[in-house]
Amino acid sequence: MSRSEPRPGDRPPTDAGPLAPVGFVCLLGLVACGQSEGPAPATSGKELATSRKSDSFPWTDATASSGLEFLLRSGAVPPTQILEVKGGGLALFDWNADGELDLFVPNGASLEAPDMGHGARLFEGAPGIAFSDVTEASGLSWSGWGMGVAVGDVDADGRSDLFVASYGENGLLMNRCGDPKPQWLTTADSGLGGPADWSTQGTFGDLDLDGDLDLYVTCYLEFDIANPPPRTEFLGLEVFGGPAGLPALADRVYENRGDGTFIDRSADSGIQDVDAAHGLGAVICDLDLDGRQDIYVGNDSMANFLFRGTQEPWRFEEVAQSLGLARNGDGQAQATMGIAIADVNDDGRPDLFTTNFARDTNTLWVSRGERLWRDLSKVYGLAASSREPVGWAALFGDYDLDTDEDLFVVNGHVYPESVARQLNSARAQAPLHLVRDGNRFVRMEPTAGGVLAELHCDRGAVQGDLDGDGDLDLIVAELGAPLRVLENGSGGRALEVRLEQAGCGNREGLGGVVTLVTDGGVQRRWLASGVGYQSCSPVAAHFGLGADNPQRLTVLWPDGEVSELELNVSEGGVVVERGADYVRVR
Amino acid sequence: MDSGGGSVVATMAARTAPDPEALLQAEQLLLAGRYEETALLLEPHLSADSPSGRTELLYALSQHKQKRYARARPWFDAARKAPGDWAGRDSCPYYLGWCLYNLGELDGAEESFAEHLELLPTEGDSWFGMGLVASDRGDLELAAERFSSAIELNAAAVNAGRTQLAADLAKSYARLGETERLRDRPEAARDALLNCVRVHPGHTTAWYQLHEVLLELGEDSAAADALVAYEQSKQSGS
Repeated sequence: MSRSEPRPGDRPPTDAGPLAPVGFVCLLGLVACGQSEGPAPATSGKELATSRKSDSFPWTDATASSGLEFLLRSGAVPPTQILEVKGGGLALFDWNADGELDLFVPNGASLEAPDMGHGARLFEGAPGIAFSDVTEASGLSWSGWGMGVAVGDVDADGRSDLFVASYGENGLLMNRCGDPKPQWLTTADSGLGGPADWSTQGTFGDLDLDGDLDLYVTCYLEFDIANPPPRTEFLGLEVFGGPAGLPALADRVYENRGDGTFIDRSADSGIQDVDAAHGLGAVICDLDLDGRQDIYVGNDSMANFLFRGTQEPWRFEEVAQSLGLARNGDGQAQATMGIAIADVNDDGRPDLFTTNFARDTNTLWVSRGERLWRDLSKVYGLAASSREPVGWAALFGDYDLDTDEDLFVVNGHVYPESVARQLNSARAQAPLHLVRDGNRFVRMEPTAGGVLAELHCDRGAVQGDLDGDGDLDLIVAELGAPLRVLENGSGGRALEVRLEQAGCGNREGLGGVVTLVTDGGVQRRWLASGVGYQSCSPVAAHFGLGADNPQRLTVLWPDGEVSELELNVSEGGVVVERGADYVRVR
Repeated sequence: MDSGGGSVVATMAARTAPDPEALLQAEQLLLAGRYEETALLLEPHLSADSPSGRTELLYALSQHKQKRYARARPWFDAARKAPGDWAGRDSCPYYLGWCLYNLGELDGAEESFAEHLELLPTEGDSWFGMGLVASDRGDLELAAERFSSAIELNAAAVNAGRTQLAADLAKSYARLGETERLRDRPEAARDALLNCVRVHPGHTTAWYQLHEVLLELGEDSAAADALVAYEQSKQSGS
């Protein structure tokens, strides 16, 4: 979404640039410009956060030694259609319950053969950062044009299944690890059939609080490869058509029967009572802390939705506008690619961060209590650094383990290099690592040759402690390029908390909230699904500890029940079993 | 970040300056909103090493008006450094400031706006730009001061007959309103935003912010009216 730059008299004033072009009038010699004395310009007397962190951060590109040598495909490079630039999801999860994180890549296809893509891949993790391709051995077979991926145990058998949102038929891949081969089954009779159009992301969550995982499917727009939209103009340049002007597809929501088969609740749940929008992703958690799960939907250049759960089962009401979450503080609908959640103002309520297009800013909505949010992007220092890039996956994480959450945002333009270069950018763009510094986020200075200075056309990203050293590492998906593993060398003390609800599909407690009390303060994590962009990171609350000592945990389970637990560990990994009065050390 | 295709032109050999007639034609094209034609006319005459000033400025404006800030930036900078006392010279730092602001370079933007204010102290829009810089830095007190300076100068200019600056006055009120809201001064925010829509009833952003601040003040009915005005303003294409 771009800001307008009107000419005097025919458009409203904005502040993207000169409105009444005073100098322009002067330079054309039409009027004389005044030269009278006036006040001397004041400069800021405070040291306020435009200065970037000058010290380098210990990111290392560990791809070469990781075993993750894989080229992600999504149409052609350079792209010729919008379909080729929206994919790029990843899932980091433990598919075989061996305690190591594995990676699933849905992968894309081509305009020539959209249903016969390059094939999804499954990489099994081993101690250290070491992956091996086990796709064939595991029996996994999926070759649609994959976009987003969701992870959840839909049939409550203790194994994590996968939902792949796609252009064409979506896929539900059932995990049968431990059974005789094949170990993955692609299910066609799950009830998730729906029209084979363009879904961008699936998000699991226990929407009816019955213990199993329901599914929200975000849908984008009508796109026919055989009859693509006409090329259009963007800032005077010819580009591929969309999303503006293309018919939007309505999102869908499905109730899990508990056995991995689903009932389509789209029509009677309220989520289709709104005009369809160009959805790119959704997050499920209890945003307003009323004990019911809510669905926040990011729409491309259209107002975002917040479907708030009501007292009536399977009934949601759209309330984004009244809560301040539909548009940014200027009242502008934004592109809203990535969504991340954290408690940036330490008030116990979730705050939302979204990534957006170039010439716009990323947006941080901070809670104001009483179910109101306000765009505080500038106040928190998140506006200026995001004006130039096109943002995608956004992840909150305490990368430096100093007890507050930082931000990592990956970027990359949608248009081919030839077009992007005529705008303000290149197709490939550097990521943003924004370190929390007091009440601001400060961009970590890219150093020559470093990970933060490298230019890529990224989309999805996942994070987890891949090498077991306590800090969060990243895996990033770039369109038409190899996956990248970014190893975090911070090391240090951290506590990772996982939830366990035995006997139900939502066994990892998606939608729960984990609060850690230490002798230094309080930290809070939402186990929301759908954060990032089209991707799934492990369902875990990761806390950097610095020099603090953990004292106790509070778990708000998805259905509102609360567990209070004393901690007798100083760092490492623990599991909170529902109903237990102790934590289990992993 | 790549600076865009402007560098391609910059690497070309030094060119001869266009004749005055060509410059006049470029100005007319620019005023007519025919930016690509302006650029094509001037590109052969650009020089980063020995700029004539006015040629580079007009070319940069042709890019700036298309929001191609990275392409415009080096030519505003070249024009700013060009020798001589040519028409429009004083406006170079102003436009360079906007380029830098839109590219997220706050320090450079602030310096450029300040330079412009030294040259033309009564031009409120550079105060406005400096206010945005302060706001982006989170220095809300300074931002409010700067927006107030912009309001003062723009109001004086409008009263002196430069009515085209009413829009600048309105947007300065709007950002003052936003800043006051961020300072948790909702009443002051409401007053500034109301001033904005009085000056410019079609200011979409101000109506939206007014809606939000009135909600915060518990003035639900007025907030609903502001939302209606926002929707109407948006739908009218303004």
